[in-house]
Amino acid sequence: MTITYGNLNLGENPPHWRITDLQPHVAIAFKRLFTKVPKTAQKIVLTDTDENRADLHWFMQRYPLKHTHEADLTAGVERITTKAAERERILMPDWKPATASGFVEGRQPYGYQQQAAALTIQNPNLLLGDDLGLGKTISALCALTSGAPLPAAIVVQPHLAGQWADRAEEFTNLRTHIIKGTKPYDLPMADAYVFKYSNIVGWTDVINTGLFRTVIYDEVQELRTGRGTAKGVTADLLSSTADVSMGLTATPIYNYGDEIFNVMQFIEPGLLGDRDEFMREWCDWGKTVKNPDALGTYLRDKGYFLRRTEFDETVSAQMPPLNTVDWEVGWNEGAAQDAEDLFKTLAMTVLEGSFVKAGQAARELDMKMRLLTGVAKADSVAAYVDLLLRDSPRVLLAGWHRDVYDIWNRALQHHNPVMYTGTESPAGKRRNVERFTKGDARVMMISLRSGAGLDGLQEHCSDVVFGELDWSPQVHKQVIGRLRRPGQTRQVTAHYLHTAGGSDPVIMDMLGVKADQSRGIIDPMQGFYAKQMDDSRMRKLAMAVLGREAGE
Amino acid sequence: MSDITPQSLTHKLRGLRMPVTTELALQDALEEWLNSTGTPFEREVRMGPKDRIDFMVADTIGIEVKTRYPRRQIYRQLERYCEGDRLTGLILVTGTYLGLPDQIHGVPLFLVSLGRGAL
Repeated sequence: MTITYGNLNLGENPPHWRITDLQPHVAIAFKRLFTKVPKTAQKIVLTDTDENRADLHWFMQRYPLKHTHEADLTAGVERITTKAAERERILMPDWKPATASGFVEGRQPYGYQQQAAALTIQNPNLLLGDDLGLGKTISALCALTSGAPLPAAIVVQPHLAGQWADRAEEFTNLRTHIIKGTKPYDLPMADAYVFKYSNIVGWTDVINTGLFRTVIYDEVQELRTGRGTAKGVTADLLSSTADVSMGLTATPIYNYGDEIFNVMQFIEPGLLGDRDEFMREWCDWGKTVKNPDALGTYLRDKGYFLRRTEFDETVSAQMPPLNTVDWEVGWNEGAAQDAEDLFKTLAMTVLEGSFVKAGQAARELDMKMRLLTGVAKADSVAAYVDLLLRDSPRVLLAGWHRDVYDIWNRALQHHNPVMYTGTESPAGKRRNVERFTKGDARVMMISLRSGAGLDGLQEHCSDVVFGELDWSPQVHKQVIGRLRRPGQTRQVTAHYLHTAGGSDPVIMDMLGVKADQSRGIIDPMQGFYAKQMDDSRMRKLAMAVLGREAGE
Repeated sequence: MSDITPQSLTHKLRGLRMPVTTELALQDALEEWLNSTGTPFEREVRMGPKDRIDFMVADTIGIEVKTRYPRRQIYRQLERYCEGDRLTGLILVTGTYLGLPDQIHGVPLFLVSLGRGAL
């Protein structure tokens, strides 16, 4: 007879494993391996999941416990093995999905979208990091029609709620309801309820009832600050009551690598360990991930992060590569002079003021510096856009500050510019998009951080000009993604206009570091990447303006 | 490969996105790129009693790689490289923005900003 070191029993309601009478040295070993069990616990209880069954089975090879559940445990182990095998099978390039049910006549998802859906249900949980324009919305809807438990909660950025409901109606038979306001009311019957990040907090009590069995976070980087915000706390509740969690984003990391930890907490908590473990093992207690490539590889291997780009075989979209050009533009000394004195005062406070005052002044200085940089180069930027419009039908112009938009508005008046920023109402935004795509407006000024998810510009425009820079490289990428997505037939050119003064040089240094963090984690093991930089068109235009021949 | 000039090399380097997290990763990526383009180069070439330049391309074009580093020290190092007449051009590949003169001791200087490359 084998020696046993304690007893193991399966309990009911809810199903759980109870471990009793452990010998002290085995209890210590047990608590070391099962970190979920508090070190001080007298009674050890584990929920009955297949993961826990497999772990118990493994633990008992070293320290047998007295029990009568051999069949239950091995069944759990087998299910886990099958699941891993199934996941591998789905990820094979030759995986053939069945016809997707629940889609309307004449509409079918692409194979790679079904792959994402199947993996989500299999895991069940997935961070889908497909590149911009690959149809993450459809992948998510496909997960809902092909087996994710309903009803689902879809959490989106406020301006995209309508677009999600429209897509669901256009492609699937799912019934949707857009949640209005922050005060709960009786919900009509639906398969998917569309929440906004701005109103989930008000619905905490409803979420707590466990009504939503699947949750989809669109642009999940909204939650990158983790549980530190009210929406983070509610989202955490939503994830823990749902059976399936799915996050969608092409740009999970906006700033430093540690954000991936927060994002994963809402998708598959525990995958990266707890916060301290993650900070110690991956980040050396800093904000930057020491080895982003290793982290990226780990997330993929585990099967909880799926990312395809247009270069993947499974996707092979027919889009020409992005063309990037960057120009150093002049700046207006006059604008700089005006604010000079204010700056000096602020700078003095930063250096010599009290702790509180210095901090305040430093933040103000940063903001003022960016504003000033934007204003100082605004005239040059407007002139550049004007030049570009001699050759290009329409231009998307990205900025940030109201004062900068004002200067552009005046200088580009003859092109009837329209705005797409935080100030316009959703209806106003729709009208402006209409004027830009079908009307007489040839310039649309877009706020750097307002454009996520905006669709429908790609058939009409292929030039985006960055007249102000953002602190995050992915914000630029999001804006470019408005134009470079399925439906775009021409090569998209991104024009970055920066100056040698003000805040631009510092921002660009920071962009280099941040871009490298996210590159390592989401596209690991790439050494260098050669951009396409063809500025011949602008050179030709400039020559024409100056009345010179090319080659002079 | 007699057509390599500091200007043409700088232009090509500006079109690359390279890792900036550690200097070593950056040097490896740069080496990989130089190999892939068939550019003749040497690594870690001794320039003086306490200096070794990171890359020497086509015998006379120096490339120094710096991720984040105090500006003044970078400048002093470049200054030392430019003493003597070994170099026909010096390229600084860096994650730290700094203003550089057009030349030091008659050696033309070129700045490749990794931040700008990451745009």
